[in-house]
Amino acid sequence: MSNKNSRALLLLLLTGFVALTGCNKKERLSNESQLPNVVSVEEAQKSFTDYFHKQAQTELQTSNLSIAPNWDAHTTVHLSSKFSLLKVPQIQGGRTFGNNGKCYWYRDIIFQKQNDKVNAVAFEIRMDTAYFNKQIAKLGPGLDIRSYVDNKNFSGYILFFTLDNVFITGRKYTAGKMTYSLFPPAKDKRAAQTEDVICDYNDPVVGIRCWNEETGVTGVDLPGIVVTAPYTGPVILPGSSDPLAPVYNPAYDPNLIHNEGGGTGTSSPTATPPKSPAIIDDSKLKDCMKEVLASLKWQSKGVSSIIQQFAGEGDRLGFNWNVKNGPLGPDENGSTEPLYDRANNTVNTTIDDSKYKNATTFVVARTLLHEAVHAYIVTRFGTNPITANQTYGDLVEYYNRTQDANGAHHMTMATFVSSIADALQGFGELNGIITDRQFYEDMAWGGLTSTQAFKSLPIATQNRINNVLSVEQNGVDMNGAAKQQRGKKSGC
Amino acid sequence: MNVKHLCCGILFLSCITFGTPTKAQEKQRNYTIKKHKKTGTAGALIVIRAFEAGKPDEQPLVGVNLILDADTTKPSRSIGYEGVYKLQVRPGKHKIWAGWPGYKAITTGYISANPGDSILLNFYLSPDGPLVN
Repeated sequence: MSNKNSRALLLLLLTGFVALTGCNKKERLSNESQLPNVVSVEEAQKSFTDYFHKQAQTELQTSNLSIAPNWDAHTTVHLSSKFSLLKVPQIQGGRTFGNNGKCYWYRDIIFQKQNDKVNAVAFEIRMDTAYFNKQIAKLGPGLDIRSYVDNKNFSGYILFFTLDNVFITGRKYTAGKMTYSLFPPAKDKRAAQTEDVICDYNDPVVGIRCWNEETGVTGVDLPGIVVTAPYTGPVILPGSSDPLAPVYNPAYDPNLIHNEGGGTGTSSPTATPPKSPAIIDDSKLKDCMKEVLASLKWQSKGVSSIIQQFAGEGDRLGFNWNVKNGPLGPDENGSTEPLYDRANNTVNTTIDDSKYKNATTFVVARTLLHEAVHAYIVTRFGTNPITANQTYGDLVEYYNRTQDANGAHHMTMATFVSSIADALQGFGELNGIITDRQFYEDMAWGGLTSTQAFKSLPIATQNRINNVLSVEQNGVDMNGAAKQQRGKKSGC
Repeated sequence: MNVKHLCCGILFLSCITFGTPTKAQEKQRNYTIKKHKKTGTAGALIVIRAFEAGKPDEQPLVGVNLILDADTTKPSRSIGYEGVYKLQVRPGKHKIWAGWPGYKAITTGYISANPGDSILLNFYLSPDGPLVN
């Protein structure tokens, strides 16, 4: 499956969940023809027919799911002003799983249009037996099976399959709230059939990620284990990220889902993307620092691109960076909070202007870049913790070993000193300062001199770097001798 | 001392004697353990969640890293988007470490896991100090 198609599928899955959990029936019945991206029944029919025609031609797996949906019973679900789904009932029934449990289920086909291409997935609802019985007692027998599903109190599974019945992903709901996600086995994410994933309806919590010490197997749990205290509240989701994307395919940046899809939210309040555009709030920063920060925004060399991302340029993070002035400890130039502020989609940094009275703008710039990298990493961990654990595996390993988050950040940062130097050089050139590359590389070590990487440098190199940092910061070298600074005075 | 005072005294002593946590719900400083017994199972199960300290009613944290038998070199595992992690363990005593960049790490004392035990372990992680320089 190509990148583009996979992305479209992810979008469809995300919006599909919203279709059940985020819309009521009145919202579904609106004037379809006046809205963009509405899939007509004719388009859906063609897409469906083409899909199975292509499958048959290539002799790939097909199934009785090629049964034509009940096109007359279609429903259009409007998720936003830009995105709609066409839901078409296909099949339904009761099915026995394991020895005792019987599950009542139905399957709809969901169609969505993106860039004029119609994508489709099978959307299966499996009601918990107890829930189904309760709904029958409440509403009476003999209704269409779909009538027994109520978003407000739904208990059961929402599962997605390709049209040829390969399980993609799913979610478990209890009393109307999502309790966890389901994924295919890790080794072959797309190969599992339904029964391999959801097997035992005696087990109320099938699918919780686990690790078996005996076998060393990690991944989706299968039947036979009873959890005595399953979590039943809303599941925390990382900022605007789609919780399904990182596990489904770690290569995707989940933010793309919302950028392209308009993000109408999911079952969790923390899944809602930030309402305001990404900004750097420097209103409480001293003017001398604002100017440097503005300069850094203007060039994209090295890690300056991080600042641009915070500022909403280019491949933006979509989150905010709050940089303010404030007092810090004796040896602290800048400080960034280690946890992401989910309530405000913000990461907070403090810069102490009193440390820059004798410093050059290079010191301000390198501090801002340094803190921007801290902020970037904090944002990555705060908004997409699972992916960050993988992306920054060395940082996590260092932290696990030392419990020193600051050291772990710096260890990571030391691996791209050269990129920080690029950004400083870009800043210098933008401000008309021409000096040698060695100077920028030495300056880039600012804040990182306690790292093992720095201590591994030859002593003469360490001394040279320490002298450069000291001169630019205070106008004197490590021996206290006054030296000519390369940069302009910061004016702080 | 009249009967009323005697009754109050007995009530007071009862509160002291029976009001302390039981073994089944042993409360530590920054984690809690609840044990449930289930017969017919050879192994033991530890179900782990992590919360931000002082916010036990909020959603459990995702991504928190866990190490079983904290004083060994076993690899870490992380809590997924479900907000809960299940560890099937051999019966015996286990220390569990929980940590994540930005929070102060916690290591439990030895948790005794007997055959058939289901143990719910909640961590309450406190924010770590700021990242400086």
